[in-house]
Amino acid sequence: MTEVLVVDDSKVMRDMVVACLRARERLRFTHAASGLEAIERLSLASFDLVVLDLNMPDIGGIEVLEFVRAQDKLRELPILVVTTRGDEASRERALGAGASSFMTKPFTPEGILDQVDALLGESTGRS
Amino acid sequence: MTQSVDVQEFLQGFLGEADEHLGRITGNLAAIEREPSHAHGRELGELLRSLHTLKGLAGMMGIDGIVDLAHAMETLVRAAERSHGRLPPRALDPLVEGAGAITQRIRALADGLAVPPAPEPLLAALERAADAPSEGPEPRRALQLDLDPSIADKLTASEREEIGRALEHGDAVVLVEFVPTPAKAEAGTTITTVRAGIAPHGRIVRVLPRSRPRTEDAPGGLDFALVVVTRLSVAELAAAARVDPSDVRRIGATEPVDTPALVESVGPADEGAFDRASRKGVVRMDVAKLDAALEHLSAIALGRARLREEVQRLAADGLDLRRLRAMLDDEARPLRRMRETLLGLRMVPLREVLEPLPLIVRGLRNTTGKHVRLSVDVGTAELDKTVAERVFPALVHIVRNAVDHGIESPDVRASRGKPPEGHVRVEASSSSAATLDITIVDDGGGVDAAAVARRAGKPVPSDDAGLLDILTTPGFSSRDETTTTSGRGIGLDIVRQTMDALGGALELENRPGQGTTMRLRAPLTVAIVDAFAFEAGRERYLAPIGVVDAIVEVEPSAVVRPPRGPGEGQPIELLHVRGDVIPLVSLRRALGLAPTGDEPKAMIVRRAGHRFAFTIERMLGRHEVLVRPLGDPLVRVPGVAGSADLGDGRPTLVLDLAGLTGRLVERTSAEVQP
Repeated sequence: MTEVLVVDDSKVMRDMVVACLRARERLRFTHAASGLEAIERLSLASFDLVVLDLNMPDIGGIEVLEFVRAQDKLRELPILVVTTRGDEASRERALGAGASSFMTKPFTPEGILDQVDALLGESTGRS
Repeated sequence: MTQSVDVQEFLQGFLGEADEHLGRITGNLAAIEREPSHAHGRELGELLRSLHTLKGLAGMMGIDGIVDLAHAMETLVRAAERSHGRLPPRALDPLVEGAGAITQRIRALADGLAVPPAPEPLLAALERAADAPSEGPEPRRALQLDLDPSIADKLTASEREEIGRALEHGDAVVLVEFVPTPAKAEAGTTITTVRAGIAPHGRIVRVLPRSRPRTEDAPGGLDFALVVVTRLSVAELAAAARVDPSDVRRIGATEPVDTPALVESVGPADEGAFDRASRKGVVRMDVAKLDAALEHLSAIALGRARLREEVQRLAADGLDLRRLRAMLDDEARPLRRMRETLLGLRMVPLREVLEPLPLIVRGLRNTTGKHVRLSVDVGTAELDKTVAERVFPALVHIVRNAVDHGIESPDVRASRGKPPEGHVRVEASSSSAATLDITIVDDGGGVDAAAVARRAGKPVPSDDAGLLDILTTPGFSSRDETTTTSGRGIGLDIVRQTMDALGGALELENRPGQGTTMRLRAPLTVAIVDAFAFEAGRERYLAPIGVVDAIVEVEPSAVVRPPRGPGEGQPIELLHVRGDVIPLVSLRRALGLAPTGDEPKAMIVRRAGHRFAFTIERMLGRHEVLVRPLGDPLVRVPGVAGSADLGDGRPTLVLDLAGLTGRLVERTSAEVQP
């Protein structure tokens, strides 16, 4: 099983991400409703991919990225960052802070599947 | 309209989250509106996030109207947040309008209607406000905190501001350090539960994740530092958060003496903020499901009644059924408690319902040119969700009236020795165990009874009740053209009908030259009503027992037929009852139906001092029923309050006898006019 951590404070948004990725049977999803919960879970268990929303209260996606990339064990973890239209500045910062890839809302199931396939393919050495 | 996901699958979830975000947006706008001279870093941050999230969700659902509005509002708020955390004064109005426009579109979506695109003029106004010059630089607090620089340095100016304000109110600053471990997670303690535990007792200013060396018990290599302002002691906060007291410590804070306080202290800490935080642990639910649960409970109750009858029959045959009876009795209490709990779930806090009111009044300020301050003081009063939904438009209309017609222009007020700003107060108090009184008091000019009577072509009323009767006559309007504000929405006649249909009341207290008070009496719950069942025209009906004064036999000798004049409509007979003479009419006729056969009984209904007797075929008993309102609350079917199920699956109409009485009173007094 491929462990995916889905991070967004909106439950509806998280459910949409999971629904879009339904086609990949190997994926198992864990939800985190805040950046803090995401950091906590990453410290206590191991994941193969993180889908991370930037716009969250208390600690935004950028701070999560910075913190996570500062950990040796998590430097190579594939992180797909999700931004919203009109937030181009955050996209730059996200890539600078270590995001593996980014996606803009609204996205389609095909769009996110392509991104996830690419990220997981790379990390297991498949092309 | 492009969409990325199957809208239907996520519609309910979207509506629920959208509702929450709108609540946060309205609440934060109201907080900013209340104290315009403060900086509002936190409020702007929350506004930003809610707008941004709403935009993303609406984008996924393909609702462009909401996306565009949220985006324009977000741009404006972002500009303000960057420039010293203050919203320029002209920015609040378009934001409030934008929130209203989004609310309307969410409602349209919920009702299955098309969602209109965002209105261009509003988008333009939002854009203009974003370009407006901001206020001057805000004086920075030079707060010194006894904290590790790694934490203190990360605090933003607006967070320091927040801490400073809390200290002024007498709160303390506390640092909580939480190390997540597998053992704690197993026991159910995570950063999320720690935050949830603290939230009702204080404000979490910032949470910082920190790396730390990995140890055997703490292999995560992580801890969280929470900066909290609270009134609780260290021990109490630790208990609330379920952490060790040694992980909590109080932080010393000093402010250099010559820093001017930003604004005068506003009294006790902003409990509004704590309330919102403690909303976690709240579940969104579909009221229809709640009502379904209540109906299932009614079915159980009916089943028990049948069981009792059977037991009675068996006992009559001589069997000893004491134990069986005791079992039945034991069941009664938990069922009653269950019903009370379910009914309680339908209650919503009145304060939340009224949250948009100050914003509405603010909007009126611009259209009427009147300066009005609205204060809402309803404490923790709660009422049934259905009642709240019906009462809210009525309240809005009365408040609009007060601003439009009641409060005088600043010049007139000055000439009367009143302060230039008018004051409208909304208060609530329970008038009985089952009813809530909501009063709207204004310090305007009161109602000119003589002018009103002249307008209506009626004699000058002798008391406030009579004045209210004229004001609530359908079609009555105080001005030649309806004004731009009060003309919209519902009229005072509908307000009265709404209160009647709810089984409540509307009262007026007029103080010419001083102001007016309107009192709405609302039942705390309408869901379950004690009702009489009866037959009229061989059809079964229900009516709440509250409005029924008496049930009498109609003796033909007690009926008087006044002489009929030319052109009179339905005959109004009179019934002698205990020395009084009461108008008598067939219930079927009052409902606009033809009576079928004998109607030997009459129900005497009282409403605001008027009594009417409605003739019916026979009484069928008394039941407690769950009333389901008829669809759209603004669609009025005269005389009908809703429908109920008496356990046989056939919906039975629940009648609004008070409303029917009101209409008949109008009709008869019209006929009496020369």
